[in-house]
Amino acid sequence: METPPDTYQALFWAYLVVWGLLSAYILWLGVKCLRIEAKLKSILPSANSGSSDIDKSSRSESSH
Amino acid sequence: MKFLSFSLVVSIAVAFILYWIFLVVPDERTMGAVQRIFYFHVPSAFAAYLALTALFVAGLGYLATNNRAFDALQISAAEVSFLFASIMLFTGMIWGNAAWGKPFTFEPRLISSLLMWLLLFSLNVLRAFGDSSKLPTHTAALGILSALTVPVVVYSIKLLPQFQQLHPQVVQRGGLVDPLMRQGFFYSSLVIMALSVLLLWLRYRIARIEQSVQMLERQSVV
Repeated sequence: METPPDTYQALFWAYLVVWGLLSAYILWLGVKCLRIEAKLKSILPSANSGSSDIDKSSRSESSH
Repeated sequence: MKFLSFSLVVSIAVAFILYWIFLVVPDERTMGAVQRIFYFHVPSAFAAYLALTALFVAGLGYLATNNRAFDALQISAAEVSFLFASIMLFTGMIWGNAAWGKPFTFEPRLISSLLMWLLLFSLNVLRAFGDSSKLPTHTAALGILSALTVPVVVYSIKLLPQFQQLHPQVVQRGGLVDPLMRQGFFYSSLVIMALSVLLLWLRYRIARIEQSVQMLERQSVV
């Protein structure tokens, strides 16, 4: 009976491509999430301080 | 919670299909072990077509409604379809090199697949470097065009007789005689398409959060 050729090397490289691309994409999504989190942290404190300045100025106007 | 449950199910399913492909399915008679690329190569094509369908719907939806949710879906579908089209193309080239002695030939199926991949590549480059004010509209136009290559790729195999092409028509011509191979193909198609849906969902959620953060940025500057 004819034995099939040994092509495990090609199989290895193909699966490396599959899992390499999938892992790289998931890693990239993780980096994106970290960047969004950092951006959100930088925005939220400034949004809170903006509203407190508005509150202070409206209180000082009403006292006059 | 739904997302985490779905992720867990897909992860377990991926482990199952790896077990099936490597430990259950027998070696193919003429090509040997390299034929097992089939269980990722063809389902990756299906996953790319699925994501391209989502891209088509999102493109039409954005052009009709200007709704940012459709733009988020466009972003997601553009990336996921490019990912699976790349997997399909590169695994095909590795398999072609092992089976035919050359990674690429100029025949209808391979040329149309390369065209689809190039359109998706240019779409993602546009998304990365394009003018932000016009980006959603330009993405919709190029996305719809990319999605229209799917029927071209699928039916291109019919343009020439089989003996004039190297790319096989395994499923249409009654290949996969062994029932374990047929089951393996069915399971891997299902799981890879579920993985595609999971990644589409994840990337869509991230895109929606990015849009909210952009809106917050604009409000805090004002």
